[in-house]
Amino acid sequence: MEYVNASSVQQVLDTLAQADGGAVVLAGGTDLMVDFKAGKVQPQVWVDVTRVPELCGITVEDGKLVIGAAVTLTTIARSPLVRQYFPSLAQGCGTVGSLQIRNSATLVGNVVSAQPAGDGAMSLAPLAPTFTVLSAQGARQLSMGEMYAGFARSTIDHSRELVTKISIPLPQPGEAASFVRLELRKSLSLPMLNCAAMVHVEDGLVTWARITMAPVGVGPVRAQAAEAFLAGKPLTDENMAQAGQLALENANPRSNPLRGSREYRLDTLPVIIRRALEACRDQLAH
Amino acid sequence: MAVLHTTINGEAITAEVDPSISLAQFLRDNLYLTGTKIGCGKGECGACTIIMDGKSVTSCIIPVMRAEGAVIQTIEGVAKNGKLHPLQEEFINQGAVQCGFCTPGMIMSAKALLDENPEPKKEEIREALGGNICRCTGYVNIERAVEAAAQRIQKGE
Amino acid sequence: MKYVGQSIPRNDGFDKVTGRGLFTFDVTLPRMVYGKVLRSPYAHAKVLSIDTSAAEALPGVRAVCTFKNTSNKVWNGAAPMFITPLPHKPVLDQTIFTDEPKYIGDEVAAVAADTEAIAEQAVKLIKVEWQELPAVYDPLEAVKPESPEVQPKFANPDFHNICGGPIVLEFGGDPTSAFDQCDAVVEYDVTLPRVKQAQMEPHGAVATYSPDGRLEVICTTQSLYPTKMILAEALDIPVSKVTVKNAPYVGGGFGVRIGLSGKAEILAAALSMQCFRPVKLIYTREEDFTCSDSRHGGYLKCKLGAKADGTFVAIDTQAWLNTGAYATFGTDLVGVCGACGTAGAYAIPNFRYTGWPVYTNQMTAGAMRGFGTPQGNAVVEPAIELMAEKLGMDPIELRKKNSTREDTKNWFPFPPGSCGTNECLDKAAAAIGWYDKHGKAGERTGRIRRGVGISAGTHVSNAAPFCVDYNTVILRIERDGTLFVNSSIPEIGPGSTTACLQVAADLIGVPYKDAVMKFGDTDAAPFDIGSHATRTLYTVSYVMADAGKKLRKDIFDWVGPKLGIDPENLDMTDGIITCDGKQVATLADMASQAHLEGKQFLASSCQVPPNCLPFYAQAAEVEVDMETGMVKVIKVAAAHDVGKAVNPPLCRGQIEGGVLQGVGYAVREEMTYVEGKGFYNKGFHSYMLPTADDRPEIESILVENPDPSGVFGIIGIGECGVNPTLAAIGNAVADATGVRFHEFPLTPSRVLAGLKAAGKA
Repeated sequence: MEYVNASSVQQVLDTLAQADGGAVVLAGGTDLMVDFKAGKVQPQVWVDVTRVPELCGITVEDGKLVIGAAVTLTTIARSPLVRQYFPSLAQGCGTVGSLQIRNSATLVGNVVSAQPAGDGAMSLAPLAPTFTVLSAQGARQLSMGEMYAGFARSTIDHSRELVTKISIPLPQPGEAASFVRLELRKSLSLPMLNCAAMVHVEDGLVTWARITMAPVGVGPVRAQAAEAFLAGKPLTDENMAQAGQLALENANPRSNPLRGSREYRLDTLPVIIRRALEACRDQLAH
Repeated sequence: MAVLHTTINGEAITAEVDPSISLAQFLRDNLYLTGTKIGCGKGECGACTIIMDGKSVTSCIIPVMRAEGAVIQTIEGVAKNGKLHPLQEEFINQGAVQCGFCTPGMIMSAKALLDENPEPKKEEIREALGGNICRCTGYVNIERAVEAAAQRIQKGE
Repeated sequence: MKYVGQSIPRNDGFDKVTGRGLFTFDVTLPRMVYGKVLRSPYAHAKVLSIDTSAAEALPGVRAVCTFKNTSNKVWNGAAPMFITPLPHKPVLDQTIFTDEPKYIGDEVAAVAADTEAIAEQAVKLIKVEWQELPAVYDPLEAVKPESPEVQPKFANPDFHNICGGPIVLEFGGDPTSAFDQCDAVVEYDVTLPRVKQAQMEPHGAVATYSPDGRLEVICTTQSLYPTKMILAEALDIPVSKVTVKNAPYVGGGFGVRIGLSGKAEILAAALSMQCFRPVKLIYTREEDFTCSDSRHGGYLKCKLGAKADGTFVAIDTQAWLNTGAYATFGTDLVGVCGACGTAGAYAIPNFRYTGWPVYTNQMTAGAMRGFGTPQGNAVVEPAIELMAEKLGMDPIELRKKNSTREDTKNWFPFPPGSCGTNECLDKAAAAIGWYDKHGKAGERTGRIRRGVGISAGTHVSNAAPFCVDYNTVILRIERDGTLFVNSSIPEIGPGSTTACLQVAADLIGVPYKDAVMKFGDTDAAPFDIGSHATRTLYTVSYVMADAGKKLRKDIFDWVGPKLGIDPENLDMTDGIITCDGKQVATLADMASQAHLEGKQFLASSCQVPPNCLPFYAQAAEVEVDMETGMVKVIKVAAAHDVGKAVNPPLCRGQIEGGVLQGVGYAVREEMTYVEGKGFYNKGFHSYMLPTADDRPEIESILVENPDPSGVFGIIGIGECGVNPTLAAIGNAVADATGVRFHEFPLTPSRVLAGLKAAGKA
């Protein structure tokens, strides 16, 4: 086995192309190394991208917050830029695993590992992010929904493609976002349920809402019925509660022996969706 | 095999390694730095915590070659010239040690915190230690030891 | 007392904070090879054929063991094999490997190879033809006559799938008729989960068998002599030729390795006996979680009767506990559940307990901190709460009215000792703000509701006379006057070796500073049962008191004539020998002089220590989210009568650690069985024990009523912290919500379902 500590994006792409499917991109590695030890991934070449300078920054460019693919969750959670524009993203990224995990793991990794309820990915989901993906075939831009191919399956082929950055449009006046996690334990645990919301409110009425939730399907699932219901309405207690109920229309949770039965998840999903909306309302009130 | 150049506890090290092993395995099996424990091998317990380039990481899921060019501290490098670090002394004084298997990882997590932030709030201490499982102490005295060490470090020790 | 009561830093602290301290996990020996195990993927199956040829042919493989080439003698991997007092007999139902695995994980074969990777590969090359057989998982199912037999050869012939037992304990009159005389009778039933010790160091052993017939095993056991005896018996080696030692440190125990550590010692030994090399076998975390004894889960129900004034009259409890595939501690523990968990804390003239240790096709349940007492406490304490409600009494007043006193006659074959229950209740109540907060469920509204609860109880400070529990120590004075203590106790974390030396220094009258204890090695000293039953400090102190008296006599009998003083008039404190309060010599000088004349001061003692009941009470405050069922424990105030705290921080450490295990037991921890797959909880990520940022405030309160049986008044503390916590939290949740739960842990799912059923959510 070979291990390449890549120093440029070009080197990553060249190495991937050369290995022709035998190499795997390694960022934080907190999921991949566990899979590797279990024999689930067996690359001939690891391409470590954590020290590629182009992938390591958090910047604001053209009205967008841009987060490099190698930026760790800790860096995001503590970034003044992230905290200023998207405190809920800082919160979600600051919840994954443990501090040691967040010191290695990346937000892109949290999306590409494609666990439906990754907390970083969830807090990112309603912010309308765009992922820039490079490969020998060139560049493409993917939306959040386009990143997930199925349960724990990403559309990104990590043996041939490199996600370089996430771009998030900066929030406009009247916009707020939130993240809520229903947890058995603060550290070292996946959530029983998590959700995130972003709303745009003008003259007291919701212009649009984006609500995402998991694990109720593939990746962070959009609560489309709830979003549609809220459009044009004020964020009253009744409307937020109703939106929570409507979220069930797009949710199909499974039972998990540890993190709650389907029934429990269906019971509490409306509660956490409502709480996420309440948090948005509270932010807008200040 | 690959050649690794790294710095461990202030010492420059060049070693031929199997790149498929973890940093924890390298420390323990190649260098006999057995103070770094492995409690799960999956980054779920914190016993293998070391400091790499100033950050606490679970070395059992860090590929060894990521240590290339890195500066690494393990529990063996915390005491200087036979003198214990305030964290080590306070772990003993405050009763933060019981079976001792989590202790090295716990101290490394706490050290990474205090190196960066010598005046941590309670929540920051808990965040820093949240990834280190201890089954003996109930964490009460561990938290107390980190607070006591922080106070001593603030006073310039 | 110069040292007892002092907060002396523990003597292994330096080793443990510097990473120098060695654990079994850290041991490397010349020519050492690595062991890996082939485990059954079926809960019950027959091995129709097994082919190890491919594994044997793999380069680097040094030994392959199966039931075909190792002894099939039956034994019991836990201490009862050699500590069961006559006329009782231990249940022997285990072999090293089996051709009829009885749970998912049962050992079928093992390999030793030059690296762990080769050993793993070789295990995969073993071809097995399985025939799956019917299995049963739940104790209430398993007791039905139509259910599959788990241990047809070794189960009680008169009761289907019962291991050893049933255990029936009775005291006083017949509870059945006594209930007729009661003004109030309440009943409570509870379902309890299996939980796991989850000690930080996984089970492990490095075994070295020499061709001349000696076996040395470095391992994680918390009871060295029983392990030595089990290995000798099971492997047909003279006991004298088996050495068992710790490395010397052991990364926690909590009961899981009283006897073998899983099966690490015997598997490593069996492999070493084939390849004559040191074999290191360390359980993976998954093996540790799914293939070594857990706490017993099961079903309990309790009926309690009282007079209108609150005086308890009768109690009758039944327990069906899931002992899993093999006995280990099954029978013993079910007895303690009744004896300590349902009797002892209160004076109840009519007492009966019936416990059923039930075999099932699951991982074995065995000893875990509390050893049955938490289970008993979990059914009795809510019943008392229901009684208080029924009688309109404050639950604390009701408990205080009935608590065991010094002169109470109860089931135990020894006096209760000092009885601090009421003081513990008062102090725990004050620390939680009981009288301001309790009993307000009716007034509570809103999404988040708080409540408080309390629980009291008792346990033991030793296992005698229920087990063959005795200790031996050897004391000697070195040439420079320093004390050296030989004992074969382990140091599994509590600081036993520090506290024992504090006691020894005061008993003998020598300085603590340079006193040393050799521990964790069967070659260090003769028999000691090891660390279990809350007994290490209490019992070793007792034996040291006897040996210390002899040692002082040995010293004074030699020193007296040298100084021309009647030895009877000599005394010694802190290494200074005095007569009538005046210094006449130093021990250092006398020991040095004695050495030159061919004399070393030494003494030994072997004794069966007494026993006494440790009393305690814990109060908890919780917060319940009525919309999600989330229970957050805010605070636990734990008041324990420890008799005398030899080292207060160490003593508090025992309480605090126990309490947090109890918090996990109450609200989060649970081994969940998935049929066909086994336990879901294969690691820390799927087992919700509390982490540092989830813990409640824990206030440990040391109550010190010296016990007449304990040296310096010591009462046992080790296991006690965990015993009443679950019930206190359950009672607090009932106080917060007005809903009484019957199944633990109180996970959000369970709580929300209960709140909904009660129309509260």
